[in-house]
Amino acid sequence: MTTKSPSSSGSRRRARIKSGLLDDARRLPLLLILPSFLLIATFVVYPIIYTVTLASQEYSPYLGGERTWVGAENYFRVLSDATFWHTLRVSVIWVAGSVCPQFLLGLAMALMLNETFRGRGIVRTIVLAPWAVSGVVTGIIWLWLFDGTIGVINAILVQIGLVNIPIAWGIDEWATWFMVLVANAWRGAPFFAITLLAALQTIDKQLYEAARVDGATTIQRFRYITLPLLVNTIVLTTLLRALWTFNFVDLIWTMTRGGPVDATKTLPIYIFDVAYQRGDFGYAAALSVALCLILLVFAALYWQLNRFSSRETA
Amino acid sequence: MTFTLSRRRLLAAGASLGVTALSGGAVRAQSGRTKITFAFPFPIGLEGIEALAKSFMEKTPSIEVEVQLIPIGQVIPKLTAAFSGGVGPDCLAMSDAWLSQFARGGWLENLEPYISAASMDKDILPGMMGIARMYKNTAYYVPYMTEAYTLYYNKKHFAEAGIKAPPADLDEFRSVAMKLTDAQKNRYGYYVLGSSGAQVQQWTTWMLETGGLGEGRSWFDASGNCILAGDKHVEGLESWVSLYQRDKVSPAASATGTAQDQANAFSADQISMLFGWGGYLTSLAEAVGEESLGTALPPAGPAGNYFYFAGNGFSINAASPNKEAAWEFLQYILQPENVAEWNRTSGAIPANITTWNSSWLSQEKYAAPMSMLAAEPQLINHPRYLPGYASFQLQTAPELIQKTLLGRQTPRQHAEAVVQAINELRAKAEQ
Repeated sequence: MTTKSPSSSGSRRRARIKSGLLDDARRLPLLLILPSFLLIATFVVYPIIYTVTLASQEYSPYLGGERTWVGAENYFRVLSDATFWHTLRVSVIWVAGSVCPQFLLGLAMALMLNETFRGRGIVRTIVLAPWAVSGVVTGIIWLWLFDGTIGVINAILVQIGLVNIPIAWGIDEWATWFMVLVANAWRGAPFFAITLLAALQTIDKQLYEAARVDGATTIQRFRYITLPLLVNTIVLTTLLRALWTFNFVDLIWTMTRGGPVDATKTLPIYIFDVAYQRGDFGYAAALSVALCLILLVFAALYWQLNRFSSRETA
Repeated sequence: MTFTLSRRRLLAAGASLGVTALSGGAVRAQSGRTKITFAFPFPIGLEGIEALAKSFMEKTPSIEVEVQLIPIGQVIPKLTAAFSGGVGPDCLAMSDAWLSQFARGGWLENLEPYISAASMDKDILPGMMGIARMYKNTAYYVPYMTEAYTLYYNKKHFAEAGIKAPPADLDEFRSVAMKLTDAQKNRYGYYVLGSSGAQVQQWTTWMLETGGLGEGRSWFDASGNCILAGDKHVEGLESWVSLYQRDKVSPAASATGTAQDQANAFSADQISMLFGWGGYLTSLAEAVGEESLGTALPPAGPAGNYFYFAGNGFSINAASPNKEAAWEFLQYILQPENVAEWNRTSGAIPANITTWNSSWLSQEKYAAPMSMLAAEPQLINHPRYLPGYASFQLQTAPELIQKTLLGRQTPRQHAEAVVQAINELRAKAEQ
């Protein structure tokens, strides 16, 4: 006959409690990340899988909604679709034409707002206000400013005698580009201003004082102190903004609807047309996959640069 | 320990929420009240429909109606996503431009049994019942309003220019538009409308009135080919394009202008004539004053005088679990006195012809559209029943006409591209 000593049963109980706690300790992080995981799986992973699957099908919900498996046919259609290449080119112009002036304006604004002057708080608020305005509202504001009938810009041009009759901005390709890019610069520059201002405020003032003692001019101080210390922020924000602008539809759609003809029709507008106007959802999904791959290049660049920048900071 | 307690509390909170939700459902079931949703996608008439929903609920306490506004630009994506997922509003107001698309998707209820049980179609304008039955000869909506494509003009501008009456034919239209134009004063006779809005109706009016209609007052000949590239039709298009390019009677910006831009130009006294649907009867009158707004038939061409007509109706979602309640609500709105009052406040002409003797419809501005709607042999049957025609109107046509107006293609190339697109749509529909 064996008897359990009180001490051995106590140690087993202690071990059980310990392992239970350990289980809880292991389970806790998993349970904590579970909601995020479920959200990402539902709202990010599932739509991607669904879109990729749809891209291999012929599917028009307006024609009864039957799905036919077509394999890679829709992807081949993308490659031979002249409108896809045209809209991709338009998207590149849209991104480059938007981000460059936004950055330059934003940098100028950040440099100005970094200086100490009376009423700086109010000026900062006013300068940053356009960032809070939606794309559609921005589009409507600028459309009215440029309007041929009631537009302020045309009224000024006519009054100062630069033109005899109002300019029809929307019928000329480059005038239309000018119009939408100005509107987008107005809206997007505050984003650069905010981020660059934050970066400017981290630069040690002693560096400027030392440079001043050494006789460096304002331009030299900007060239050799400010710019090198801002470069990481500039690259990352520019990439991020490019990524957003590529997908940005509301402003350009409100102002031009892709016209004149198809001069400002970007890839996202084309995808929307193919899906909801033509009802060709399978092909629209293939176009979306192509768009996603293009954006992945930006995302990969952003990720790499972010890693590089973190390593440098460390 | 804290975690265990929090988890328990969380579970308890979840359970109590579940019980509350279930009991709420039970209360609703016990009360026997059916809740339906009604989607309204038009900018004009929302207040009227909300008032009707309120009075309906007072008279029928067993049904609760929730009116939802869908912005018109989001109708197709929103309803496509909802309907294809088997959800969406129980009933809704629907444009004839979307009817075929949604009916073809199998998302709209066949309303024939409801209409015949209520003996409703005898009171509705025959042309509108024709539109309601455009897909498979089955009514997927009940028309509640109708409109004709009308020439609107500014009487004050006409009087200033010494013009006594609106132009009766296409040649007179040109000379009147030229007389009204003074580019130095930023004043133009007309607006060509090159972007979204009812622009197809504009240039095809010139084509069809010069080249004539096809079989059954349609765009097709007896063998089913689109007729719009005939020599005479192209001639009609050339004369319309020359209003912009040669005569310059329309603002330069109008080549890419939208229906809203057109209305803005009229309201701001920049233009004197425009074409459009019934919504302008109210909005333009508000802008320039009732006394200054004139309406007229589109000018006649050498091949005749033809009119586009359209209208909106009510549909029921085929997947709705509350179809009977939805129909009860729709029937209430469609009662002649209700539909007449609602259309009066929104400025539209009711599709129910028994209301046409209402005093408000005797106003001068309604005379032209009502005379067109009554002239059935002159009404154009354009191919809105074809799958993809809505896309042609919204996407293909604006790009084509902008190209033509801006001189990047000839009117003949334009006509040939239109014929190709329409024939393709027809071939696809017949497959």
